[in-house]
Formats: sequence, C-alpha cells, structure tokens
Amino acid sequence: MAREGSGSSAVPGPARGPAPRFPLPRPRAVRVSGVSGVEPGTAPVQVAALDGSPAPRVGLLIVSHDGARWLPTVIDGIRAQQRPADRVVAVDTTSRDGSDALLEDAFGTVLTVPGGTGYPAAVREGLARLDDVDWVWMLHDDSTPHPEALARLLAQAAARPDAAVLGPKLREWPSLRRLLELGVTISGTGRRETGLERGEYDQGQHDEVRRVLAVNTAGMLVRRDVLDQLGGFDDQLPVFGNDLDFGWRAAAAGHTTLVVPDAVVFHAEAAHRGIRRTPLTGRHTHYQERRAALYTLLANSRGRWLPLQILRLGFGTLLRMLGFLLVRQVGQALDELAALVSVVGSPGQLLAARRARRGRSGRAGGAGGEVRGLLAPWWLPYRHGLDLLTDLADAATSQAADVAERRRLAAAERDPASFAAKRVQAQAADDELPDDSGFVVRFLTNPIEVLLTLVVLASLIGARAAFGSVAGGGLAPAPAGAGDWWSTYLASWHPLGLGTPVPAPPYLLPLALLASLLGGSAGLAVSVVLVGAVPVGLWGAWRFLRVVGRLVSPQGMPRWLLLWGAVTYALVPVTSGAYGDGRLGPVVAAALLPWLAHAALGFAEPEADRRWRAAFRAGLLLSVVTSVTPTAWFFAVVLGAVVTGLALRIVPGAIADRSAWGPPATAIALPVLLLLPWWLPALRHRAAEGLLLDAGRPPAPAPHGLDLLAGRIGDVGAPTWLGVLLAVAALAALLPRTSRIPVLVCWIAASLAAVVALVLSWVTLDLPAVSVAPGTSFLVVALQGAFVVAAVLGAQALVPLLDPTPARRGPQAPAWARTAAAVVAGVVALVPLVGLGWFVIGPDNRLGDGVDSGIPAYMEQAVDRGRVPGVLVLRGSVEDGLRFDVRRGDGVRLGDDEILDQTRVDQSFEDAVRTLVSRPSPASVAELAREGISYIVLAAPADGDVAATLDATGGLAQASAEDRRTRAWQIQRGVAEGDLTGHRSWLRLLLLLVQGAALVVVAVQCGPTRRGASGPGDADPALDPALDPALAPALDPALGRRGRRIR
Amino acid sequence: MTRTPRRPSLSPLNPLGVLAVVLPLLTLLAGLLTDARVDDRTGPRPPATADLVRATLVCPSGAGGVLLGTDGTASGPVRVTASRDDGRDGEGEEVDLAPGRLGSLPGAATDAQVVLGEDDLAPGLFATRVGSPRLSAMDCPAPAADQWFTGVGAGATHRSVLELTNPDAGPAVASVQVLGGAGPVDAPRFQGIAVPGRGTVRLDLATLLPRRSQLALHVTSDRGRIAAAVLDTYDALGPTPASSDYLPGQAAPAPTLWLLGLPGSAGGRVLSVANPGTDAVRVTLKLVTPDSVFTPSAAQEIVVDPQTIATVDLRSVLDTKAAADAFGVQVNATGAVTASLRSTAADDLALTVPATVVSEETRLALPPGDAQLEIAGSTGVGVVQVVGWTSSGRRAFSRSVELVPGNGVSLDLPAGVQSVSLTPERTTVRAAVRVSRAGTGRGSGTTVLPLRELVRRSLVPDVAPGLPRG
Repeated sequence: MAREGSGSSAVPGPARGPAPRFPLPRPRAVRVSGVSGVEPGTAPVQVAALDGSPAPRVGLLIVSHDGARWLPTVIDGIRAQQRPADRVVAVDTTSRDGSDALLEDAFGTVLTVPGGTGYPAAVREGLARLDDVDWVWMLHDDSTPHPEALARLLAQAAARPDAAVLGPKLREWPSLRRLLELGVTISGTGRRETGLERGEYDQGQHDEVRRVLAVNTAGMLVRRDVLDQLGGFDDQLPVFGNDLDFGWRAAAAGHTTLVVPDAVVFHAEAAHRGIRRTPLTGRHTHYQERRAALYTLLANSRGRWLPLQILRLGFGTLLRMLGFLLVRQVGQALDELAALVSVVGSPGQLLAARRARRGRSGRAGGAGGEVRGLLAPWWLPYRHGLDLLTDLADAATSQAADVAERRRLAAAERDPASFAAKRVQAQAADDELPDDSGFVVRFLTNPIEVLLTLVVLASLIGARAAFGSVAGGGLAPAPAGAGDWWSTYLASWHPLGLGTPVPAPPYLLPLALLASLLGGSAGLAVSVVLVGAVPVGLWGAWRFLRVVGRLVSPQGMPRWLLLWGAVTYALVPVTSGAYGDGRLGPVVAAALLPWLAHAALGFAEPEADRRWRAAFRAGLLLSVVTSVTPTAWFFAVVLGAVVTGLALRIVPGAIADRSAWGPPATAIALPVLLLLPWWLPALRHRAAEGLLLDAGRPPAPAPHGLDLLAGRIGDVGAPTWLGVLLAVAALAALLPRTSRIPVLVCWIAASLAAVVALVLSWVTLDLPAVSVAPGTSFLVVALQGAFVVAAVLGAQALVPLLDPTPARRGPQAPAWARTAAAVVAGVVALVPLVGLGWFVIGPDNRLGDGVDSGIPAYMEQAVDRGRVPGVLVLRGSVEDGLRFDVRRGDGVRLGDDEILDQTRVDQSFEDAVRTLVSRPSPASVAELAREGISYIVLAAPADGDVAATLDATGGLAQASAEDRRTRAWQIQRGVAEGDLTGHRSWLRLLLLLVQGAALVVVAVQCGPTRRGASGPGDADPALDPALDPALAPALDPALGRRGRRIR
Repeated sequence: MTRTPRRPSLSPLNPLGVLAVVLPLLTLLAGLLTDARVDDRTGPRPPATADLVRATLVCPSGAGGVLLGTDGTASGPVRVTASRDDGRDGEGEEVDLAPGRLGSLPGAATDAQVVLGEDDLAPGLFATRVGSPRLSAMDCPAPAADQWFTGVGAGATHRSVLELTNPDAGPAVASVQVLGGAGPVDAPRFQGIAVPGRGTVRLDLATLLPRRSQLALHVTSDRGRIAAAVLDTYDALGPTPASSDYLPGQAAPAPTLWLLGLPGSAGGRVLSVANPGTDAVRVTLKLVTPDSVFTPSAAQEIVVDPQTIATVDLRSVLDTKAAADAFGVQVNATGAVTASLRSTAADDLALTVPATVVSEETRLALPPGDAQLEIAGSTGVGVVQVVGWTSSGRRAFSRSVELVPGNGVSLDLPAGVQSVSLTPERTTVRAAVRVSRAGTGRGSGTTVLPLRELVRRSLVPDVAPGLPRG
C-alpha cells in the first residue's frame, strides 16, 4: 500500500526501460577460441615453482558425454592455456553427437567407455593412463578454462605446498560474468552451499584464496597421490555431488582444499540444468542431486548423530516436498521423496560407505574439528527458509495489485508507439523516486492512512459485543474446541437428535482450520470472524476498488474516494444487521466478496498463466463464500453466463481461446468439486434444502422489498434511509457519461442480484420443523457491493468537475453540474460516517442473548457429561401445538443447526411423542426409552394439560426444575444408551479424500508464479547474454540460440 | 474552432442510455417485488380431537355415597379407589356400569374417591358425591390445572375446607392464591402444597388462615394432577348442627356468569364476586326467570377492585315479588370475574356456582329428593331434550323444551329420577338441578348441581418436530 503513494509498480520486463546494470568493466576482449573472457588479472603468471624445483607434471583429464555443442570452445580453451598440461587424457562415455571425434581430433586417442559409466568410473579409467603425473587437472565437456587458469592454479599450488586440491573460480557460461562457485560446502539439510547470491556478478568481491570443504570437479587440480589415497570418487555418486563427497573425505583425511579465484573456469552446468540428459540422470536431475546430497551427508557425518540426522533429513524432505508442491513442482517433490527412500532404503550401501570412510580418516588421524569448520553453519537452512517465505510473500503482494497495469503494459508491448506505452515510460521514470522518509513519518503525514487506521479502530470498538463467547440470534454457541468441529465435519453420522447422516455444513472446514490456527479455540475463531469482518472487508474493498479505478482510468482513483468506497462497503456486514443478528453467512460473504471480485478481475489479465491463477483463487474464494451463503454460487453462475455472453459478443474470437473462457468456467466449477462432501450427501439424504440456506439458525431473516435494495438483513441494522442513500448514489453514478460503461456493468450485476433474489423468493423450502425462504443474504451483500462500486466510479468521473483549478476542470463542466456534484458528494459522504458512528455507539444486537434451552441446569450437565443419553424437550401448548426436539451431548452448537434442521424425524418417534402427550401408554414411554431419552422436559411455560397427562403416565417420575413453570419427568426404566452410532459411510470418506486432494491442488494452483522458478536464467532478461548486444557478438551464434533455449 | 457534435446521452436509441434506464428499473422492480415471507409454520396450530381413552373423576370425601354412570353405550367396570389423607394406597373396587344404569358406592366410602374409567367407559363418565348430614351433593370433577373457588370462609360461622386430591402415583404440588376483601392475602402455607401420590390433603382455612371476611381461592397445580373441592360449612352457632355443602370450582373467570338454581325462601343470600384482574370491574346483576332475564330495580351496581373479592347481600333483590319465579342470577361484569351465591335457609346451606355452557348431550346423577331442572342462557332458538332416568336405567321422564334467547325453563323432575340427561339441539344452554328435601332432619335441605359437558373426546395437540434450541 505504501507503493501506492508514489504511484509506482514493480513490473519487470524490457518495456520498463533499461534494467539496472552493474558497472561492468569493458575488458580487453581476449578472443579465446570463441569465449570472450574477462581477464582475471594483469600480473604475469609465475608458472614455474618459486623454489626452482622442477616444474610439476600436470595431466589433464576431460570426460565428455554428448558435449559436442560446448566441446569446440572447451578444446580451444585448453589449447589456449598459457601453461599447457603435460598430458591430456580424454574419456568419452559413448557420446552420440560426435564428441569423441572432436576430442580425437584435438587430443589424439580417446578412451571410450560404455554410456552408463558414471563420472567416478570414467575418472578412474582416465587415471589409469595418467600414472606419471604429479597433478591431475579435471575438466568437464561443458567447462572451458580461461587461458591462465591452469597456470594460476599451479602457482597457488606452489605457494601453498599443503594444498592437495585446488579449484578455480567458476563463472556461468554463457553469461561469463556471473559467479557460480568459489568452492562449495554442504548444509545440514544437504543443500549445496556456495555462499553466493544467486546471479551475483563477479566484481572481484570474493577474490581471496581460502580453504574450502570442496571444489567442483570442473577445473579441479588435485594431487595424483591424494586421489589414489582417497580412492578416487565414490561410485555411488555417478553424476552429482561427488566433488563434495571427495572434498569432505579429503578434509577428513587432513588434506587442504583451496579455492583459487585468480583461476577462472566457465561452466555451463549442463547436467545440473537438465540440458544434457545422460542415462545416469534420466529425466530426474533433481532426484540425482538430492540423492547425492543425502548420501554425502549420511556417509560422512559423525556416527552418533546418524539417527538424528536421518530423522532431520526425513522431516526436511517432507517440508521441501510441501514447498515444491506449493510452487507447483510436483515432479521435484516426488524426486525428493524418491531420493530419501533410495538412500535410506539401502542401509547396506550406506554402512559400507561409512566403514570405508572411517578406515581412511582413521589412518589419517582425526580432522573432525577442521571439517566442521568447513561445513555450512547450522542456521543457514533456516535463513534460506525465511528468504523463501519472504520471496513468496513479495511475489504474492506484488502481483496482487497489478491487473490494470499489466493490461496497460501488454497494450504498450503490442503497440510501442501508443499512448499507453508513453505513459508506461513516464510512470517508470516516476518510480525511480526514492522514499527518503521513515515509516512513521510517512504514516502520520498521510491523512488517508491515519483515517483508515481510525476506521479499523472504530470497527473494533463497535464490534466489542463479539469479544468473548457469543451466541444469540442466528448464531449458536461455539463448541468447546476446534476438535469438535473437525469431528463433526469428518463424521458421516452425527449423534444429534435421533442420529442423522445429513452432512455437516461446509463452512465448518474453514472454521475448524481457523480455530486450529488460533490454538484450538472455537469461540475465539467465531469472535475473530465477527470482529475481523470489517477490517478484512475494508482491506479487500480498498484493493479491489483501487484496481477497478485503474482499469477505468490510468490515473486511478483519488485515495479519499477509495477510502469512502472501502469504508462504505466494509460496513455492510454491520449496517445490514447481519452482524447484530449473528448471521455468519452474510458477515463472512461480505468480508470475502471484494477479495473474490479482486481475484475475478484476474480473468482480464493479459497473460494466460495469470488468468489461470486467478481462476483457482476466485474458485477457492467462491467456494468459501458458497459454503456460508450457497446462493452465491447460483448468482456466480448467472453473472458468469451473462458476462461471458457479453464478452463473447464483443470479442467473438475469444471462444476459440481456452484460456479466455476456461478460467471463469473453472472458478465456477471449483466450488462444485471442493464442496463435494457437502452437496452430494445432502442430496442423498434428502437434505437438499440446505443447498439454498445460509449458515446459521433458521428462520433467517428474508430481506424483501425496500430492505433488499437498502441492504438490510434482519431488524437490527442501521437506519434504512442510509442504504437508500447509497442506492440513490449508485443511480446518480449513471449520469456522468465518461464512466457510464463501467457503472452499467455494476448495474448489470445489481439487476442480476435483484432478479435472482426475486426468483428465489418464489421458492419455499420445507424443512421438517419450519418452512423458510432460500437464503438471499449474499444477494443483498452483492447488491450493496455493486452500488458502492457504481457510486465510486461515478464519483471518479466527477472528480475533474470538483477540481478547483479551472484548467484541469475542462471547459465542459457548467456551474450547475459542479454544484449538483458537490451536493450529491456531500450527502453521500454521510453514508459511511453515519454508518460507522451508528456502529460505534453500539446498536442493538443479539450476540449476547445466549441460548435458552429451557432445560434444567442439572439435566443439561448430566446430558453434557454423558451421564444420561438424551432429553426430550417439548415446547408449546395443547391449544397452539407442541414442538419437540431432542437434546444430546453439549447441545446444539455452531454447525449442528444445519444438520438438525434438515434431518427428517423418524415417524415412529414422532408418533410416540404424539401418543405420549395425548393418550400416553407404557409403549410410548418404552419407545422413548429405546431412543435413549432419559428425561422429558416441558419447557416454560409448561402447559398444564400436557403436564397433567404426563403426570398420569406410568413409567414417568417427576423430576425437579428450578423454574416452577418448567416441568420435567424422568423415564424410570429401560433407557437405552441411544443407538446413535450409525454406519460409517465410505462414500463420505472418499469424498473427504477427494476434497482434501482437490484443496491441495487448488491451493498449489493459487500460489503466485515465482519468478525464476524454472531456472536461474529467467531471473532477469537483462542478464541473458543472448539479449545483451554487447555480449552477443562474442558468443558463438549456435550457443546464443541454445542459450535462449536453456531458459 | 469547430464544435464537436455532442452525442446524445440518454436518447432511447443509444443502447447505453437505454440500459442506464432499464437496468435500474429492473433492479428496483425485482427488489420491490421480492417477497420472501414464508409461512414459517411456527405459529399456533390447533389441536385435533380423539376419543377419550382414560377419564379420571375425583369425588371429594363425604358420607352419603357416590353415584356413578356413563352416558355411553358401553358397559363394564370402572375402578374406584379411595384416596386417603395419609397417602397410603386405599383399597380399590370395581363398580359395574351399563348404559343408563347407575352404579353406586355406599355411604361408608367416606374418603375421597378416584374414579377411573378406561377405554369405552372413559367417554361420558360422570359421578356425583352425596354428602351428609344435610342434603349436599357435588358433581365429581376431573383434575384440573386451574380452578377458582369464590366465597369461601375462614371464620367461626362460615368455614371452608379445601380438599386437594392427587389421583396419580407421583407426588403433586399445588399452590393457592388467596384473594380477600382488601386484596391478595399473603398465605405462605398455601404455596407449594405437596400432595402425595394417590393421596388427599385437606386444608382447613379456619385453622390455617383465620379471617372473618369471605375469600376467593385460586388453586393451581404446579406439578402433577390435582382435583380440588371445597367443603363449605355454615354454623349458626346455636343448638342446631352445622350444615355443609360442596362448593364446586369455577374453571376460569368470565365476564358473564349464570348462577342457576336458587333455593326458595332462603334466610340469607350472599353473592361473592372476585376480580382476579388488574383493573376494577363494575358488576351488574340480572334475574333469570322462565320468561325473561331482567335487571331488578333494587339491584345496585357493584364495583370490585382488582385482586379483591366483594360480597353483596341479595336478599333485597331476590326476596321481592318480581323475583318470585326467578331461578337464577346473571352476573355481568366489565371484566372477567368469578362468583358464587351462598344461600342459607332453615340452617341449611346451599351453594350456587356458575353453570357452564352445554352444547351436546350431558348427564348428571342426582341425590334423592325433589329435583328441579333450571335451563337458561340459550344462545339461539332451539330445543332441549330432557330425559329423566331411574337408577335401574328406565326412562321415567322425557320432555322436549323449546328455548329462545332470553327465556328459561324450570322443570320439575318426577320422583324417582336418579339421573337426568339434557340434549340441546340447535342451541347451547346452561343448566343446573336444584334438589331439595323438605324437613330439618338428616338428609333434608337443598343442594344445587350445575350441569357440565361430559368429556367424551380428548384434545390431541399438534405435535411436530421443532427447531432445536439448546
């Protein structure tokens, strides 16, 4: 929101103008065999040893596999070495692209080994031919050395006689500038740590020789004898991670590994990036890497920590899997799991590897302390986790606001000469302005932010009745804990009344989740929902209106107008009376509707992927809203059909584009899938009426007539004229011509809501106990939303009229129009002010009314604690009719109402009750006893005739009641426990599993697209050498093309 | 500078303009037409009726025996159980009933008696308790949740005993609200009166609540079923023995009451009117004669303050020439009241209480004596069939009487008639039987028995699942 003030936005891409560049020194372009290297240094390289001893013999070992695309450059690089290797041995693992021929042309005989040979085995084969050298220099077929690389490595080897392994600075190929590695180590979670930022430019910032745990085998210079002594590389690590393992073993054996930044090798990391597939990596590069990491950790870590380490890695694997799932990389998540199973599943191999390592390090003496110093610090994985979360949050928030801008950018991209493009450029220039003042100063000097804060505070004060335990009106008391909600939601049979298979209402799932997050307190969850409705709605409305304003006009809406609209809308849950009457349905729907609408704006995104993300977000939100106010779904269907129809009429070609109509269709279809465990069993168990009923106790207030238009649900709302004012404002919004089209869109939505409400009002739902109208509270909320948006858009068009500067006002605004606009604005501005004031003063509400069950307290306790199975409660009189219900357990709690209200009462039980109160017989009492009824309560004021009848009934003993007007009897004999267990429904279990899986998939699909998730090269197009005109000539044309393809 | 042509904004031809008019209109119309009010079925739903399968009558204690009968077509035994003061189960006995024929209990059954008729014998069950030593009788009532007794006494010359009987096995609790001449009388001992199962509690007002003035009692059952009766005693404090009669309960206060059955040539006639309401009421009296219902010139308007009882001496009204053939008094009040008329003649006490509406055939067992059936309060032009039966079930008397509103009938029943049945056709009436036996000795005197509708059907409340609340 802070960014809003400067009007800037975070939009990547070339259209924003030149991306920030590091001041790269334009190096002397030493054209070395096709690679333009940046010279590592200027001092002449001392090739010979300083002490004058004979120069060491160096054998170059290059292993290739299908590396023909890099090999010409690599070979040139080797040939250009100032200090050439004394011997070159090339090993080819049966390449199919002619790599062997290239090597043979360059270095003579090539040792060809079978295609499945791993790197360690290939090295072993090559070493067999290099028995007369002191040092072995290893190169990959995708790593090309700087001309001075070997010379500088050897110079350092001479300067540091203790060094057994030396590695160069690895830079990215083809960018050539970005650092890949300066030695590596491994973290406790098996992550390969380079200590570098991603995509860090080499500016000499890491140029000191230092001891490291390991260096990459690409460019590794290692003593021949040390290689032998350590047994070469481990065959268990055929492609990845063998360098880390080797370095660890070397360190454990007391050898020193140095990184020599003066020596530079460019590395394409072909296998790591999956450009090259070998029989060893297959498609699952990630699996191989992870397996190597786990193996390395478990094979080398200290013995006593092993079980703990396995546990930690197992848990870490689960977390990483979750992370991968969240960014929609299911394959990698599965790779993670497979790698763990593979390593831990072969304990024999692991133990053998550990034995071998123990033997070697044992001979060399303990160097554990040194090794520990070379490993990554323990906190590093947590730091990475935090970074990841920050990244995700950034991605989520930065992409939230920008539908309008992205559309404009897309338009600018299509036509760079357009007005839109110029505006985008101008805006980009504005964005450069820094924020130079602190947060507090910016907050206090911003009246809108101060006002927003005041509104939130006032809403919290207004909602004081919702703190603590609340029940009354349409709100049943919350159960003891989240566990009750979970068990109710998951159960296929509820021990309520006489036992029922009617499914739990769908909103229990989000409520239970919320309660669990809040430490398991169900009451707190209800309070949070009631108290949070206004702030959440305010935030959502602000975001939505801001984007709508920008969609309509590039300048967006003035912030005071946003404030007016957002506050007016945010107060809908309370001014409508839904809050005061404890109607969770409209309260939640009103809080989430702007978020849903905001998500739905994403259908207008220029990019297909973003449209699909919007589809899942809107679908998920629509599911939540539908779970509390099911008519929302029907309205969405109608609105979706109309809007899609209109859109297709305007753009007929869109029907061919699946990504145009697919997202809205997906969003509407998702609730059907996500709410499957609700609607399907409801249909099956003759409780279909519930599919049209709002959450809460029936009968819910059924808004009609003026109340519907003025947004009043129930009788504890704000004065109706306040709502009428808003409707009038929405009507007046049609007058300004400039905003008429968007305002008409709002009116389309409003008229559809009214028509749907009209149609629904013709329906009567006959529940067993009561006949009710379908829940239309969502339509009231939608109408209010449409009115607010229309009013705000109309006002946005009037803003120039009110501008005091005549030049900006334009010549077409006559004085009367200005006056009229000012008067309308003044009157309409009252709406949120009066609404908020009314709320703060503390209007009537039923939240504190509680629920009077009419049952004596001792009886309530007995049934709550399970000492008696159930109580039959009778209310009414002979004259007016008697109503009965059965109390079980802790009574009717939030979520139980919907189940009980839709449960058809067993006819034989109803007959037994009727017989009991008219011509009681031992049989009717026995029938009640069989159903687990211990007490019969005639709630106050008890009808004397009914009481007399029951008094005269054998088998009933009078029970006491505090209230003299209440009468109670105890059934004396044969009370069964009440067979309420019912049958477990496998269908429900299946549906719950489907819902769970669908939720995971949808949640993953909702996640923001992480930039660069598919490869480091994606992070910033400006860093792509193929796009950099300065670098392009330096690149092999073929390589340039491939470089693009890498992305 | 050229002026750009301005587009028509709200022209009907402009589709946007059309929409700008149509859409709000559509919204407004749809909104105003929306009427989601549904009959939510939570309103009152009247009961249905069904044949009575179990009838309980409670006859108060007395020494003159009990007469039982049924006006149905079934025959068989009904169970009669004595209800003792101590609550111990009294011995039960079965009394055979047949259509028309009366059964009886001997005078030795002095305890309160609970009569239980089941199945076919439940509808139309009736019983009369006969008292002694002077002639007294009472139509045995069914237990009721709410009853009024007006004009009871707690003094030396006029004392009343309230008898509460619980016909069921479980305990019952009753409360009595007492209204005196100055307002409600605080009577803590009359609250929460426990009546043991199948037991009787007798409350002597003279002991528990000594007062000179007349009182009205409102008996409610807080728990369990209670049948209440008041045995009222008149003691002239002379050598003559005291005389008692039963004071039946009045089910509910009403603005118009018909007190039918006036003992002839009485020495004292005291009308008691209680006003249980919260506003003062004005009461006027009319006399009921066979020819008309009229306001006697001597009658004064009585004002009864709220929650009080007022007494009026009616001798000046009734012992006049105009009132010579009057057989009842109509009490008209501006609010709902309760009333009774207490007559004393030749040291004999007779109590007249309001007669209730009779709309279908009803029947009453009569103690031996000269019986006079008084019928009044016809609501339309109709016919009343009156049949007198002997104890063996033989028709001894049959008469068809035409009635119009405003007039009444007083019929002398022949000797030997032990039960009388009355069947109104095309009208509803109120009726009472006055039984008298000449003399001053044992069994002489006058007693008045109002007729009531016999219970043949029971109300079956509309039972349906309700919205769970707790």
